[in-house]
Amino acid sequence: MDEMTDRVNFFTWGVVHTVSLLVFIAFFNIVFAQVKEINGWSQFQVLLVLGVGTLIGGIGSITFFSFMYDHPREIRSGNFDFKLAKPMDVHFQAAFASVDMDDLIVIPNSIVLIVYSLNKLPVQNLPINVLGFLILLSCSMVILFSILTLLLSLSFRHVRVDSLMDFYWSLVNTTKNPVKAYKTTSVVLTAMFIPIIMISSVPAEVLFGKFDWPWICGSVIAAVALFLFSRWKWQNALADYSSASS
Amino acid sequence: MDNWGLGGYNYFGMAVISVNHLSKYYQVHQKEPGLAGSIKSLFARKYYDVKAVDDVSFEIKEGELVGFIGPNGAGKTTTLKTLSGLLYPTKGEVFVLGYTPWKRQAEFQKQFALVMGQKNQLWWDLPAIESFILNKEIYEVPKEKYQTTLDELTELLGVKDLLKVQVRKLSLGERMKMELIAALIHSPKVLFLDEPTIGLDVVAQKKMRDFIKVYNQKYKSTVILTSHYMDDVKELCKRVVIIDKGKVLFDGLLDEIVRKFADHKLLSVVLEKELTAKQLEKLTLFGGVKEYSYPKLVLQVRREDSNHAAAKLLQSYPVADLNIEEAQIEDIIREVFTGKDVA
Repeated sequence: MDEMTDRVNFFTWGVVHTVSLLVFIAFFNIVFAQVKEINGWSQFQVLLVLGVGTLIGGIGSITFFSFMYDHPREIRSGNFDFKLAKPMDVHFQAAFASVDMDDLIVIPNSIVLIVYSLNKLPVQNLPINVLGFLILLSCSMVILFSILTLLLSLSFRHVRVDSLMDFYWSLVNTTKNPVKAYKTTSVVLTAMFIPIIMISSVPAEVLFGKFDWPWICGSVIAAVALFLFSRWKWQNALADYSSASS
Repeated sequence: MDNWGLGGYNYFGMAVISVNHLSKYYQVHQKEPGLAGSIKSLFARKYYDVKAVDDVSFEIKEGELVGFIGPNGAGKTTTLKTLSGLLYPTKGEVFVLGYTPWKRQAEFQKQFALVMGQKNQLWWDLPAIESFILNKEIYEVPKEKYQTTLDELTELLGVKDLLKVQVRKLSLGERMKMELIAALIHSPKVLFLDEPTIGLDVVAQKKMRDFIKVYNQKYKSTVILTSHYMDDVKELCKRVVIIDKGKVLFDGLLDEIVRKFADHKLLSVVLEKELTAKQLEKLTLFGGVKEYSYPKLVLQVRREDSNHAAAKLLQSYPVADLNIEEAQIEDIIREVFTGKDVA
């Protein structure tokens, strides 16, 4: 909330995020001026994925992305002490203690892009699609949250995990691309693409009416399994916390 | 058994805090200076063990205000952090209000507070009132109780007008008062104060001490206080625990420190005439000359010889006034830590 105290900075962020999204849209427009589709994905399907990926980023910012920056800093400074001392779930506190309101504009921007892309696509049964999309969007957020929790639980022992946070941020940004359109035989790349596909491509597909059931079921199962595993890992990792000298 | 099966309280002797053979060891790595040292530390890292707390035992009863003193790195803060459940011990058993702290049960956490003078729990860019409201929700303090406590604490600390000012705009003293309010808004039964007066000017230190004293007396809360300022300890604590290199050196009444560690007394003399070189030389027969600046003379004499030495001085020297004094607590403690003779 404190981001709103400094108005100029807050509004500047709004402009920066809007321009950034427009650059992405312009890039895809250039690509689709040359080709009609990429591995079966049309221009507006790709823009829909961009919208969904951006929406996920926006929701992440106003919910738990601050966790990514704040938590390692609090571990290093020892300010995590106060969270541990409070009668509240430590994981919940650490993840949701602060929200990044600077990115608030991202959500309406992405919704405009999603609505615009859907208008350009021949979509049927929209209410059902939206319902499915919302369920899968929740799964996407849970998957992203769980991956972040797993990575951050390492900070209790290793303190500095900046490189992992960079990796995580790359993963979040990659969700703006239609990764499902990339065809690769590399096992490593496929393994890396699976969560990204689950996070943005699968919900976007459901929104325009393509129900790819193995992927949908996989997303739901991955969300539940990853969440439980990351919770368990986090709770165990707490024992490694050594605070910081005063 | 987690809370001794007695609803969270230890009814055996009313010890609110019970620490038995507590140890906390860390492994710390050493790095040679420079780039070469950094590269070497990537592959062949040298570790050494730090015994931050080593076999510490003590008990604190309900309503006691105990001073925890020791030099930097003595293990005071590590002990407090273990008592607060922030750290898992390497060995030992701890009960606070009958709970094992590091199990971090909400019922336990609602009954204690931790204030660290060198750290902030308040939101930096928001007024302190926002942090108080958050704590009210976290600790589930009823609205009326919250308002009464807040009114009382702000009145006692004189910060009523500052509640809506951004924390970063407050002075250090004002911020510390707000930190205290944030910690006390749920009326904790146990209070861990880790250097609450650090960095404050003498006036602010005094106000803080007065507040802690009043709070302890009024609410019968159990308080452990760590501080480097002996004034804090002298003014607030009857009992002190002296800790150094992770071990308890002393646990008892503040006055007992003098008897236990100071085997000398001070003869504080006001002279009528300046002493000759010969008279000065003879003074060594009584003990050490700690200070001589005419007309003031301070002699350090063995405790058992103090009366005899005073009588001799009165007989043989031009003495206008003489006092037999105990050594200053500050000096005793400083010299206990440095391993020197205490006077």
